[in-house]
Amino acid sequence: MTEFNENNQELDVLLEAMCENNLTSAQVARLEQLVLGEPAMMRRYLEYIDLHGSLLWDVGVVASQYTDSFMESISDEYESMSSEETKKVCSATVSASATPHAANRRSRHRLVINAGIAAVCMIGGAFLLFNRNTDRESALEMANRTAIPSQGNGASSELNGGLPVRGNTSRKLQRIELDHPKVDSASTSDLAVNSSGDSDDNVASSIDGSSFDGSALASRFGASDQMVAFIDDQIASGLEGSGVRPSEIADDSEWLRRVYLDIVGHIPSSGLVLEFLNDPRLQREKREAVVERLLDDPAFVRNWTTIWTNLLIGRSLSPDVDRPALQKFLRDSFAHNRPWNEVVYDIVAAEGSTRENGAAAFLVAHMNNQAVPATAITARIFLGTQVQCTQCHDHPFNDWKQDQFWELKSFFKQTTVVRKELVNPQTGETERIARLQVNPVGDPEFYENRRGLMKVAYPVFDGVNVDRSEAVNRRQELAKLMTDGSRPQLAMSLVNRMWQHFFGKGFTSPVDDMGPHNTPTHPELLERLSQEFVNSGYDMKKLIRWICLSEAYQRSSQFNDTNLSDNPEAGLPPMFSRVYPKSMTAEQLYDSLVVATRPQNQKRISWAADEPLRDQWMQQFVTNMNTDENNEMSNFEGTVSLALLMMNSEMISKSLSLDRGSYLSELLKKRMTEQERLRLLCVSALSREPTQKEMELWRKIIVDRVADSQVGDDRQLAMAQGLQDVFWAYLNSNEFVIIP
Amino acid sequence: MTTVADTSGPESSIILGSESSGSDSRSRKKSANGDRSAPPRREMPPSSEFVQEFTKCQRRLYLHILSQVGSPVDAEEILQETNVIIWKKYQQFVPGSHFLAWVCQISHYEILKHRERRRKDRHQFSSEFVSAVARESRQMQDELEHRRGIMLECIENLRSADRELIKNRYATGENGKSVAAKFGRPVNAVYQSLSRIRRTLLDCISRRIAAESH
Repeated sequence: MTEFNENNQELDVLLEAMCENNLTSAQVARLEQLVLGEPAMMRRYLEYIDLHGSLLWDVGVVASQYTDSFMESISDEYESMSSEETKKVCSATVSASATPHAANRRSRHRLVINAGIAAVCMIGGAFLLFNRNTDRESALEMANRTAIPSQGNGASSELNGGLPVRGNTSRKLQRIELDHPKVDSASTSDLAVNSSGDSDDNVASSIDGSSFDGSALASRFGASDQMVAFIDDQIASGLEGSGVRPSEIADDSEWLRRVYLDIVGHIPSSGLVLEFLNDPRLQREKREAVVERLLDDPAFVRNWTTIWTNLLIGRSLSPDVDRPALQKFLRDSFAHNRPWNEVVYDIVAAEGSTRENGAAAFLVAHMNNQAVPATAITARIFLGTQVQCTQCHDHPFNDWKQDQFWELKSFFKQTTVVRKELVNPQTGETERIARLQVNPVGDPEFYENRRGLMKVAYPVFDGVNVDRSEAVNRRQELAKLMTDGSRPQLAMSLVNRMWQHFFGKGFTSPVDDMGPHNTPTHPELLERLSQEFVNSGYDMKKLIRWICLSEAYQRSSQFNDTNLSDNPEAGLPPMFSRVYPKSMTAEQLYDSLVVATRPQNQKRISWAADEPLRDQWMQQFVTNMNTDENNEMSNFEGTVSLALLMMNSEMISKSLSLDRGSYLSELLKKRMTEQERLRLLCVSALSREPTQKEMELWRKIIVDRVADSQVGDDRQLAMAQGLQDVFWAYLNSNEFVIIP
Repeated sequence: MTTVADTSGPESSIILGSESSGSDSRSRKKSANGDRSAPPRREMPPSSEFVQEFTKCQRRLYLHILSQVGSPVDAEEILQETNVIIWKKYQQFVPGSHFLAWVCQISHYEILKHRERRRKDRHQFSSEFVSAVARESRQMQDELEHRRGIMLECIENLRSADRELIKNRYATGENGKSVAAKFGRPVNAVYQSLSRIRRTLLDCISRRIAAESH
């Protein structure tokens, strides 16, 4: 029996090599020996090669949708074809066969069939000729000639791309819907996965030489909350059998910096870092406490207001966009942790002037170009669906058809933007105020399809027809349909976006292009999180709590030696065995600089006064593209301009100022050793203790500076300048702009 | 096998396969089996039943060939050559008889021809091996077909990363090496992952079949 097992393993190794075309002739001989030696081996061989071949056939053959529908239509015709028609179709197919079809490169197997169909056409055509007393042999020869070009497996076979095939029968047999994994309802799905996964994974992990005991780690982190445990279960089961072990739990410095930047949008101050590092409580307890504190921090409101303002109206300042009004609306919403569906309802159904109703500012900004941007951006931001290309044609990858774009757009048909000059009672100055006006009209949308036909679209959302009469406020109806909780898309889209915000990668990439063409990496997790988010009453803070308390979020962003392959930057689907590092946004950088360089004695930061400054500062990174889609480009993350700006900007030089009341001057006044000061600089900038190597380097820099100087005041200044150098280096380091 | 007209006469099938001698062979065959060489349905284009059977058998036929030659590229080539013969000889197929058996027989001669052309290739299987595999593959045909149906379910249950890898590996024109390059992963690591996934699939299929028989 053990011999059998050994042979079995040897056979598997040989078969693997065979599948990758790596067999030597000696191995071929050995393979034969094994297979012929034992019926069970023969069986294994056939099962294996059959699997290999089925995968080749089934996966390799998936042709483009276009070819399929083309083939289907032709084959339907073929069914009822008289001989006269045979001739027509055949001539059509022959001409099609002369056209190279780049899109069909994948359908090689189909070509085999195509050759056959071509032959049948030719034979069918031949019979026509035959009936007219033409020599039948020449027809057969023709059949051969059409078929033979496809025998070569190179470019010539591609020529046959568009030939008809019996689409109905062949397609059902051949297609594997790899793009559409079945997502069962949330309650049963994990069971289904586990039942098939268990013993597979035993095999796999024993082979890969590593296994991951998710439950043990989960309990170590005390996942009290059900959802937190569910997240970790799902991530762990995603890793099973892959040989990937999750990264270590991040140290307190890394985690604290990350959670601050993620929840409140800036780094922790040096005082808070030291307090946290010295907190004697259990790691889990103190981290939970931080999450709770940050969720109630005023900066939480500011951070999420910034994030959503940028998503909704971009970063560029425009006189036609009432940015402050939208910011105020969002600030109120986040401050009261209003249910997300209510916020969205207010934005989508908004009416009135932006001064009275900040929520109206979103649509005012996008009602240009006959509400095309409003339609596209509403779908993209709130529903995570890209529909802009369906304005002109059916979506190539997802289910959206052209009419759906126009049906969605017809919800905006009653809306116009009216701008008026009004006097601001507070300042006495005239301001241009925009208002969203709802006109009682019942018109549908008209559009041209690809064939140039005029079509009409009435308001329909997700298959629900809305009353077309002019008395019905269509945007209110749309807002209701989007947010009533019976459709998961609003919640899914938000969960996906939030997941990306915290982990650096969403379940789909990009996060706002969801759909059957873009399978989520963890479909069960996404679905369950979305469902629970709906059940929680669209509670954003609860969702953040689930994510931030999960063990997955506690992990380091550093690789370990088993998860090098978990690298979305290399184009691999994220497994979330670590938290992926992110670049700071421009706003995070600005706010973090403010925090890092805040003098120790200054307790509060007046963010409100700072806001207009920051918005102005932002403009140097943003280019409004002035397109119909209201796109803009932000050249910020990791660019040369950022590096130059950081090194030379006024802001940095102010941060390094030695003037009275500045961060450095306050630091110099304190009675402490030089070492203590250096240590504080590092904690302020990078939220961690300096390394031994850094300390040695800094001491050298300062010693050099001081050695060059005279005794007395000069020496004091040299010390200060040394500290400046060190601080400059820290603030300009890569580490400063990365969210670990 | 006995229901199929031509399987007993290998010579005629082989000769029909070569394009130039088509008329020769026909006349020779006519003299050999005059009773069924000119049935009235020769005048008819292939029936829709025939076309349907033809399309349906393609994958199984491909797998049957692949198991005997090992190389997907060769198997495709042979499949195409076989198809040409099938279409030439469609009128010899007796409706109602075992279509797959018929086409497998045709493929048998195409494989022989292919092997003859490649006889210098030292990586080629021995004829003893090929005939043993062909016999076994025919016997297991129904079972393998059943397994393939289950494979589709098992693929759906793979982790999405694995599914993605399989999808990439088995897309036309790809192999383990090219996928490794595409993903920037070491080739050996990709080979290992692919081995693991294939084994996972095989186990999943076997387990489900065992469960079915309970």
